[in-house]
Amino acid sequence: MRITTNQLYSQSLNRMLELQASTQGLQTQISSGKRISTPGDDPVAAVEVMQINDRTNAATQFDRNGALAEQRLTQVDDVLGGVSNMLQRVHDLLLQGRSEALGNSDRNAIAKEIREQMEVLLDIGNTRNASGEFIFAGAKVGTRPFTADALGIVTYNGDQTVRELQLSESRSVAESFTGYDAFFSVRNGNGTFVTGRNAANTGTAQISDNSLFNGPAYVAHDYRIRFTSATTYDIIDDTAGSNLATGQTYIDGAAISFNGMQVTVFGAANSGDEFSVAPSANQSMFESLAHIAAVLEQGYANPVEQANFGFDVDRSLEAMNRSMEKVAELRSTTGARLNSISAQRDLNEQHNLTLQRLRSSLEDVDLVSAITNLSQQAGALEAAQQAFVKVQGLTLFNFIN
Amino acid sequence: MSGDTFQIGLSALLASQRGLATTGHNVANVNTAGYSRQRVTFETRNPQFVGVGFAGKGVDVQGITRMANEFLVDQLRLATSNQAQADKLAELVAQVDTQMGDALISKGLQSFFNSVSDANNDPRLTSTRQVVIESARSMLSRFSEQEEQLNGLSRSVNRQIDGLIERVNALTSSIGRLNKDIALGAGLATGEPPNDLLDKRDQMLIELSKLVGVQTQSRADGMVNVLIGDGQLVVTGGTSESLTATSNQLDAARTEISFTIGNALSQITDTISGGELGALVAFRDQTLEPARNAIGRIAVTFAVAVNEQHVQGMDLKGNLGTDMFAVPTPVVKSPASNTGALSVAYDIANIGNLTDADYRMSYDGTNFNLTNLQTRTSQTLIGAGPFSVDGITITVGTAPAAGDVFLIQPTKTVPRAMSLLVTDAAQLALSSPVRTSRATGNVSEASISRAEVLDPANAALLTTTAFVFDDPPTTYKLNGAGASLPFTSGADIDLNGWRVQIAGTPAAGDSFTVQSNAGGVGDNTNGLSLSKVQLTPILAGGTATLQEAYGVLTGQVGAAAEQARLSSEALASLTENATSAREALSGVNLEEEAANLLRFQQAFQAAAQVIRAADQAFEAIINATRG
Repeated sequence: MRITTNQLYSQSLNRMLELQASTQGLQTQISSGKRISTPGDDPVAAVEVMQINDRTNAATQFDRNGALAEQRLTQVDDVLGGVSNMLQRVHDLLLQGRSEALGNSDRNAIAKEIREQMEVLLDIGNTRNASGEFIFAGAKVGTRPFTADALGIVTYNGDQTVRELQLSESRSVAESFTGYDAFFSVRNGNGTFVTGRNAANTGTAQISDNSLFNGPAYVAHDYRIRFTSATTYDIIDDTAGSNLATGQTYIDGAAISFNGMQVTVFGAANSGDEFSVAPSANQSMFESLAHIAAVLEQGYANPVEQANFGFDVDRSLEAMNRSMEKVAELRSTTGARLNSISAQRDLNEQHNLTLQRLRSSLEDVDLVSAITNLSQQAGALEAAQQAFVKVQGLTLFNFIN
Repeated sequence: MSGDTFQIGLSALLASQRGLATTGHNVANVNTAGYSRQRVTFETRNPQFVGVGFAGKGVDVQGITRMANEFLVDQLRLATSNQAQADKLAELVAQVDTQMGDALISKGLQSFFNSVSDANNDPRLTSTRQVVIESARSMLSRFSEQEEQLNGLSRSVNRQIDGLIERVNALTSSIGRLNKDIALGAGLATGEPPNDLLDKRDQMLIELSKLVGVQTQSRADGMVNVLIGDGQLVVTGGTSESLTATSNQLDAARTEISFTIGNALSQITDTISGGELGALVAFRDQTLEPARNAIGRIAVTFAVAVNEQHVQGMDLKGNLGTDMFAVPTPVVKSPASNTGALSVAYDIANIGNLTDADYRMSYDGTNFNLTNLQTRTSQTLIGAGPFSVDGITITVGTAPAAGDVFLIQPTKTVPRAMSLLVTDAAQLALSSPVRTSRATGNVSEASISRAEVLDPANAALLTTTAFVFDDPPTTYKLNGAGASLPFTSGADIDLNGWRVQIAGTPAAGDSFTVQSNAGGVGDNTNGLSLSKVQLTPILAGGTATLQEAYGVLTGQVGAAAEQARLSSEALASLTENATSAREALSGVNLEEEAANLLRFQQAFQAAAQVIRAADQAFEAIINATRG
């Protein structure tokens, strides 16, 4: 094939330009460390890298949410720990106050401390978080959730919405409990049913040891155990308006069982004395504490009053147990939430690491091969330059003369 | 006899001189683009009968031949045209590709949704809410910035088409003039071709084909006809016909290429291929306009989806959420000659069906015909409308006349016309508009779910409603009055535009309340739903999230850029081959010319010696006879 002078120039020149362009490209890759500078360099990888960036960015946000949720739930747990200690203290005081060795003035002193503990509980209920929000106010985070009126009756001013924080694309976690759930919905009695002693009873019999021994047989009705004499009683179902049993023989301290429930009546009963058994309802801790204080303040002056006092203390111990169970339940929920947050954050972190590795494999330059390529290209460019100069020096015109 | 020698010597001298001159011409044009080397051909003069035989009479120059091959030149012109198109296309697509490389929209969406998430963590704080407002504003400016950049490219394409059309016209008229000169020259030289003019014309045709793909037809008179598009004659012998840049009949923002056929201008844009003009047309139709529409589609879908969710919430002041973004209606363009009018709105319920296409709607007197300008598919719309198609609703206003046409651009220019309506941080509706609660005195542990908003426009949405259970608690009454309604645990209760479920076993007298959430400033229920917009596939018929749709666009542009670059590289080597083939035949080699120079120089010196010999012979005779 005929070679022309122009081709000699242009072909060598083109080759040098090509080599320069690819050296330049390699140089850019090495200095940025990235293989892809625009999507056109590798469309598939570029889109994947973009999506990985979005996802790691989102994961960072989720991690931030998780850290905040952890912080807030830890605070909730600490606060509930305080509640738990306080309830234990009241429980102890109550046992102390029950002692027959104490006089009314001693019980008054105990009642005073219990009233102080109530103030503490009120403060705890009105705890704020780092953002200045009341943690037990539901969504009404700017409203003081618990306030006491002149009579010491505490009302809940929050609502029943629990805020959730997003931990991942599909999971969110509640960051607290509403004051309503935490302090206002403790089931009274034994959690299923609650017993009562008619204040007009003339005997000294009390009712205690309430338990549910056969759940499926339980019927949530209002019942009365009515003594027809000192030794016999009827069981009346007020809801159904019928008698469940009549003329039962009363044995002091023996268990009375009906409809899955078991209660124990002990002491001397008179005809006409009544004990009620009703389904449990919600009671607030504040109300329970106020009741305890009132019982201790009231004291007793005669055996019938003492029987009432004994019954009230019994009920109060039950209430304290329910309250402590409630707090324990809330704390275990909090613990479970904290565990799941920590698991989710670990998972997010793992996921992030995987994504970063993937991204690195997609967009990072293999430096070893890039540098090898660069030195090869640079060598080739130098060779091309030398060859060009040499070939251009060869011309017949040099020899004409 | 010496006279003959003189004559022979002289003819040789002249022939060598011609040879030297031609070699010189070749050397002189070694760097002239399109030049074909020339060769002198010699022939012996007719001999003379001198009795004993025929005596030679010297040499004549037969002609000067141009070393060229029309086939090779055609090859080169085609390769050049394709390469010019590929190079230009690669350059144009790379501009969009570079923009996409910044992932502007995707990052913006991410920071918007991150800000919502932060606000959800502290919904009461103005500071976190303010960040949402700012990132929403920044999102809008990202959309309009990206659209503005692409629109800038669009305007630049128009300007380039204008400029290229002028250059094409200048070249075609030069080719016409050259045609005339060539025909004239061929006539003067009695059939010998005017070599240098032919080279010049070939070169002009190559220049022309860099601008636009052309075909040529050779004519007997030496002229060529030049055809463009699907056979429009831009050069016919000595005359040329201009291309004209015109505005699209329906869309003034689009420059079209037109040509006079008969007495009327016709658009021939779609038939143009090859060269830079072909690249501009292909770029506009296949990359630029689809990309603009795709950005617009993401912007519209984003704004509509956020609005839809935002109105289902309640703001910090207890007011129901309002639209966060103002979304203008799709653009309808129509020529002044239309009788009727259309109005087009987004079909909010089917917003996921929006496409990246523009539409042409025409009326034939009975029915409307809707053409998707990207897929080039048509459908007949039966009846008078309104028609809901591909995420838009077309309503016929003034009745059209047969022949009316409309251009519908659902998303193209929307981003720059969107604006932020919620500018006060307190107006951000992060809470649910209604809250639910069970009464403090409830005996049972039955619970009520959060309320899900079904219809934020319901006038009774915020009306307090209590579900009070009867005795026995298998039924309930609304607000404790009226008819008893049957209760099923966990079943949906739809009322006043919301939905709740009551689960468990309520006791008689238990009460559950749904009421306005005014004051629930710490609630983030609607904010969490707003966050979910990010991960919900709401585009492309419910198959892609906002960021995925942007990823698809990026992938498409990236693939187009890669393709354009690869084909530009591949065509470069084809062009190099075609150039080599032509050069091999027509190019000047200085070594060769140097050798020819020596050859003709020696022949010239030899011829001079012949004359000198003849002269000496003559002188010898003169001296001999002087006596």
